[in-house]
Amino acid sequence: MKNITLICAMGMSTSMLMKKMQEAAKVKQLDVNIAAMAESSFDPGKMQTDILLLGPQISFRLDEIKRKYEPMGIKVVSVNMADYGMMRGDKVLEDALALLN
Amino acid sequence: MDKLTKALEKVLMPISAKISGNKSLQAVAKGFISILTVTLVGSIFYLIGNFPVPAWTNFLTNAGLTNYILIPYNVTIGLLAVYTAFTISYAYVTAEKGDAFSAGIVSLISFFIVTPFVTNENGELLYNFNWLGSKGLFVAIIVAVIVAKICVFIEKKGWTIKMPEGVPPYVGKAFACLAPGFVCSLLFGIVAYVFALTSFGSVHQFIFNYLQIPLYALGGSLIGYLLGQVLIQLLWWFGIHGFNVVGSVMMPIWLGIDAARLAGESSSPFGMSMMTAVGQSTVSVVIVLMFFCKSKQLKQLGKVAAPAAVFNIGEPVVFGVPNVLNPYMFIPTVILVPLVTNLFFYFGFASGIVPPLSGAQVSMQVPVVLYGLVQGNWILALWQLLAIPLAVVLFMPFYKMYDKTLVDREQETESGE
Repeated sequence: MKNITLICAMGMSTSMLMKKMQEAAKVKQLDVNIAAMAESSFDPGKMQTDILLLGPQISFRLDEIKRKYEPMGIKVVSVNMADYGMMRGDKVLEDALALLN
Repeated sequence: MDKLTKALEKVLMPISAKISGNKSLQAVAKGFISILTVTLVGSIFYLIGNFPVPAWTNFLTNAGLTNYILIPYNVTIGLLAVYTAFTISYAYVTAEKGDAFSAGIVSLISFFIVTPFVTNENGELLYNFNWLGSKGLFVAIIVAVIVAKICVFIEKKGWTIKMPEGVPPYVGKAFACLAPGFVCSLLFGIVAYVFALTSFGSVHQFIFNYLQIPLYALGGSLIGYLLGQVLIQLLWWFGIHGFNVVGSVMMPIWLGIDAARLAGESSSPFGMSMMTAVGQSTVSVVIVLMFFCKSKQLKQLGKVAAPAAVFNIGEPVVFGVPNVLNPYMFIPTVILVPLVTNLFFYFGFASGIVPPLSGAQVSMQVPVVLYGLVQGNWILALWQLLAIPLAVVLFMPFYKMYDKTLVDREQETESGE
């Protein structure tokens, strides 16, 4: 079981991508848990997370967020801009899982 | 252009990261976001109580219900400063993983200490709503941040009363906020005393005159407001969430102006509600993409982005076109459309054709036109409807130009295969 958490400024657009990723995971019958929320509501204590995906609109804060969560053993990456724009859930899911293996 | 872009990026990225990463600004923004429900609840009742149908308002007045319907408004937006005093301190200390609840309470205590109350002829103590609403907002922000910093400092130093072993942790916790509570009460008690000796009478009057009024004048002026809007879009052009950065500085000002307008203390049309009424013209972009672009990429994107665009979510467009660092998109997305659409609405308000916005908050995610209707402002809904073709026309030539380069590229790859 892998846990993927998506964060952005308000948790709106990432929740759209989350849905697409969940659909892709269902099709491929993958055992993943995908959640999306505002960056400010993310709490690794409450939300088990293996990889934290940043919406490109907050990836200018990647360094700061990395410093905060990587010591806790969470992988932090920002989503590819084009995949995010086109809401390619399958591609984002694939890339995230590849990073975890 | 390329050089200029790189130079700008070098400046904007770290500044944005600094602003968004600033603990105090972050806490202020989070504090405001967490009272959004408070302002939305208040706004709903305000809109119901003032719905512009004479038969309805007359009925409310005759039945003596107006004041009752407005109670939720009065105790939410009317007491805005009280809520923020708690939420900002709470947000700050939560991020620092300290005792956030105690910090929120101590902040409330401190806010009330610097807020003057009066004794009436019966010897009863009375607070005036005056400083507890939008007028006291900046004092609430300042007090909350200072209290939070003190609480975090004291907690890190470990200046707490240590309970002997065997005392239940719950009891120990009750004593934990004793030190910050005492220090803050003393500090703000002195502040209250010192300001009572001045001609201002209270720290509220001082901050209101020398900070809040100038900031409202700046952020609530046409130039200040437009600059803010262009800056938001400029950051988006660099792929940075513009409102996330600009809003963490401007939200107290723009929300404060709205609250002041609701209370009849301001007539400036600029604020959060104007910004949400004008929107980001995402619907117009999607119309251009779906019906006027020929490349597969943009057509496909139009379909993907349409459902989000209805709810004013722009990310698929911003990153899918992409608008980010796209030279074709600089003029329309950063300058032309934000300026023209905002001025179009400003003209509507300034000329008196569109009735002024009450200042009530309606969620940014309410679709345009429906937004105007929810505000109980039919003409505003009409204005939003007219703004759609207006932005379509403004976007069109730029998107067509860019679309043509994509069509050429798509044909090249196809013939290449």
